[in-house]
Amino acid sequence: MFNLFAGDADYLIIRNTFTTTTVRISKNLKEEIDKLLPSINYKYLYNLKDPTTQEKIIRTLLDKNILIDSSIDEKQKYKELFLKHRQEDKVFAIYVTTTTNCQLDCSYCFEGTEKKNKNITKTEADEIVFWVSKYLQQNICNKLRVIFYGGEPLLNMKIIRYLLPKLKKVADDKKIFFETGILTNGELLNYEMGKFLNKYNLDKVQITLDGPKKCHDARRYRKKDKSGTFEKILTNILCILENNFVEKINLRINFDKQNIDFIPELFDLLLSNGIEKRISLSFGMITPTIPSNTKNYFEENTLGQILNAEKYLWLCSEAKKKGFSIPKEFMAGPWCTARKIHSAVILPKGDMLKCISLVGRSEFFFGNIKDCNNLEDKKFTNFEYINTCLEKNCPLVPICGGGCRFEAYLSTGSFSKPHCQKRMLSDINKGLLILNYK
Amino acid sequence: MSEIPTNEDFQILEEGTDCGTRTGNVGKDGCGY
Repeated sequence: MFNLFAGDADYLIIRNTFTTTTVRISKNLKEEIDKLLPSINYKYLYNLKDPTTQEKIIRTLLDKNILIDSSIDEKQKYKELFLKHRQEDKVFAIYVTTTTNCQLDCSYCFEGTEKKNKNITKTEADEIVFWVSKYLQQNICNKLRVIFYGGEPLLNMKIIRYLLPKLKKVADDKKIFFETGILTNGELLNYEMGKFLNKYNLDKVQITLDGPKKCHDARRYRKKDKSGTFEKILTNILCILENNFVEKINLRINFDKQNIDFIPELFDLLLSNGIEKRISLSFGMITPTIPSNTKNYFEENTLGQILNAEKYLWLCSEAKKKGFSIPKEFMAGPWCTARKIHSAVILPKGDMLKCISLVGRSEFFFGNIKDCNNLEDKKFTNFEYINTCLEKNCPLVPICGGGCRFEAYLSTGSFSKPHCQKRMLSDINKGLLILNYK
Repeated sequence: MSEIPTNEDFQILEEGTDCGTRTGNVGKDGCGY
């Protein structure tokens, strides 16, 4: 059920989305196997003393779950493993929104506009440390992961400097692993900040560049004078990599009708700086958000599912040609922060959200660190929607999990309904099979 | 586990995992997770 097929006239590439096992098989051999299958006795197959090549391959396909014994309930197995992994995930992940303020005025910003200038204070930072310590006393976790988010998190860098050593000490005292990450526009991520973060097991740095200078600066400009940020951000990226403060930078490139055609020029620029091996590309599709003052932007510039898939694959193809690594699969949200047990987005004043896409929208707060030690937000714990997708025998469930919960809310008004993007996910993932393996 | 035949008609391109589901930070591509 969980197999994706891609290929040409002679060969098929089959990827099992459940196990990630991927095989290449000639169409002739597949036809021979298909003919044999109805008469195969699975138990007998494993006792054969001198199996034929076809029989050996069938055994391999069974071992790898690309073929499934009809006595096994694949859907039930998936559901059980989904819930088991959710229970067994012992990473305590907190997204610390140091400020809701941002120095940029991006044309497509999805964040809500409430309390745009709220910062986490020193007193609130102390409360966060106390709450994290208490949470780790009451819950068995093996890692504390602290990701700084905003607004622009580095606009409140004094709180990052204040908070990180204290949170690291909490993890050390509990004898659990500690790592940190940051999602930033990159303008303030200079040498000093990079060096500081590096001391705290810096695991992820995500920075956004929306194409070459002319594109990026037209979309991601400063609020105060509309001036561009490209050169400053590129300088910082080069500095962070040159000093090895992090192994790779996750470069987010948002695309839509406005900038798509120019993005390969950015690949050339990164290549000319010799950093193509130290960049993980992440292409973000500009899609609608909760109606706001940016509504017209989305209506005018979003590409839609079919074109998004086509353009995403085109970007991957161009990137690969120039020596960048490209993803093996395109996920749609099986294990995001909203579905984990031990995770929360923490805002100024200690308010908590389950999904980073809900920052700036107080109606979705599920608690506050002052009085909340249970991070299960009931809006996100009804997984019945996954059954709906399994009932449709969708092979994409392991890489989609019923779809992004924020987008489900946008499309259905509920966080508990499926959000199906089957056409786009199928096109992209099949295309990635060809790009990676042909 | 059976012997894995490999020839021009059949090749394993990627060995999967037994756990059957992704772990770690695997959210929606590009959502920043």
